[in-house]
This record gives sequence, C-alpha cells and structure tokens, in this order.
Amino acid sequence: MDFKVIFDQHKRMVYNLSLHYVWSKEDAEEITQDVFIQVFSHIEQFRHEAQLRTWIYRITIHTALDFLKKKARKKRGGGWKALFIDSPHWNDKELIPFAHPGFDLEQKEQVEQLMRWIFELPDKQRDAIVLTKLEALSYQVAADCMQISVKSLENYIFRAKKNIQEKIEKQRK
Amino acid sequence: MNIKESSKDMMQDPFSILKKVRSQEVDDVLWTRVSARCSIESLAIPLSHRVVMVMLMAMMLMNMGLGWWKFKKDIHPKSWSNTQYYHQFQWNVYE
Repeated sequence: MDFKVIFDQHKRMVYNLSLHYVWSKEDAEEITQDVFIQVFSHIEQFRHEAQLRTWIYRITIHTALDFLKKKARKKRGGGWKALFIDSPHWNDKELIPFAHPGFDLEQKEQVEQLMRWIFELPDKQRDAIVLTKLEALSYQVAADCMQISVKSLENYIFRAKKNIQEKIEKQRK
Repeated sequence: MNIKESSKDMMQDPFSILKKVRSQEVDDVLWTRVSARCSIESLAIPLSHRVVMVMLMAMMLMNMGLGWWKFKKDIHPKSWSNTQYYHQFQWNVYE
C-alpha cells in the first residue's frame, strides 16, 4: 500500500489521539511525525493479524508516552535520577500545561481537572477511557488496540469511573 | 460552570463532558515534513550494517596500532643499533 495513502487515511486519527495524551498542538504534531516515521520504517514487519488501524493506534500511544517521558527527563536535566522516570506526571502543570484545542474555553477548567484525574489512573484504565470516551472507539476496536478482551475493557472502564467518582466526592467535601 | 457546581452531574456520568471534544484538522505541511524525514530515514544505514562497519573500523585501527608498535620496536632510531636494519641507513655509514 502506498505510504501517502496510509498517511492520508490515518493522519487525523494519529494527531487527535496524540492530542489527547499531550494536550498541545505542537507536541501532537511532533508525535504524529514520529509515528509515521515508525510506520514507514516498520511497515514490512507489520503482521496482518491485526488491523493496520489498531497497529497504528498502539504505536501512537507508545510514542506519546515516550515523548512525555523524554520531556520529563529533559526537565529534570538528564542525569541518573532522570533514568528512574517510569511514567510521565500529568499532574505537573508546568511540564504538561492543558492546551487541548478540542474543548471550549468555558469548559476548560472542568475538563482540565477531569483529564488530570483520568491521567492519574493506572495505565490500563487511562487508556480505556481515552480510547472509548475521547476517541469514541467501539469497545471491540478499543479492546483490540489494548490487546485485551472486551470484558476486561469493560472492567477497566467500570473501575476508572468508580475512581473518578471517588475523586469528585473528595473534592466536594 | 466550575467543578463544584457541576459535580452532581459529574457524579452521574463523569465522562459525559468528554463527548464534547472536537476533532482537530491536521495541517497539510505535516506531510511535507513526514515525507522529508522518511527520505532521510530510507538513506540511513541499517543497524546490522553499522555493527559490521564499527567492527571493521576497530580491526583496522588495531592493525594500524600493531603496525606502529612493531615499527617503534624494530625500526625506530632509538633501537637501530639493536636491529638488523642498522646497516640499511646510508647516513649512519658516515657517523
């Protein structure tokens, strides 16, 4: 398949998914470039067991997370301490300011708080919410992307909802 | 509407607000950048080739080092008197 065709078919999906993770236009553009470079150089290794779309989804999630880890390491000025950063801190407002262009300004405060809570959740719960609620994927496709069963996905979403409700409850008190 | 005011709605369905997210368009310039980077990428030497090149380079340097060590040991002026090459150097004949 022609690479330009793959790019045109998936660019919007990759860009928007990256945006949900990094919350900034510039970073999402950089991640989109990195994702397509990886697709270009590994397209021969692509096994047709999975759909091209789910494969690209997985690459995008990994690339976005790696990008944020690198950003956190840079902020810490490299060195040996930076090696122990295993996940980016979405709670760090300086490192990851909320500049998602997909939300209205009036909702910004509310969405920002919700997004920071979502990204504090365990990885699987976070990815389940991003894929099903933000990307609005069907449960089957989201489960394929995460390489889990639909039942496990439902379980992650249920637990995520419960965790977020607890956080809202805490905030109210 | 702030979080506290809307927390009742949020308790019901915390993720309902996320449905309002608008999908963003991608800048056309991105293809130019991606294709440029892909052409650079396609020129890049594969990792296996790079490993072989580094090994060959190391062997070449080792050979050069050994050659120099042998030269210093056998032919260098400081050790001329002890070597078989002593008589081959014309200028020493007049000493």
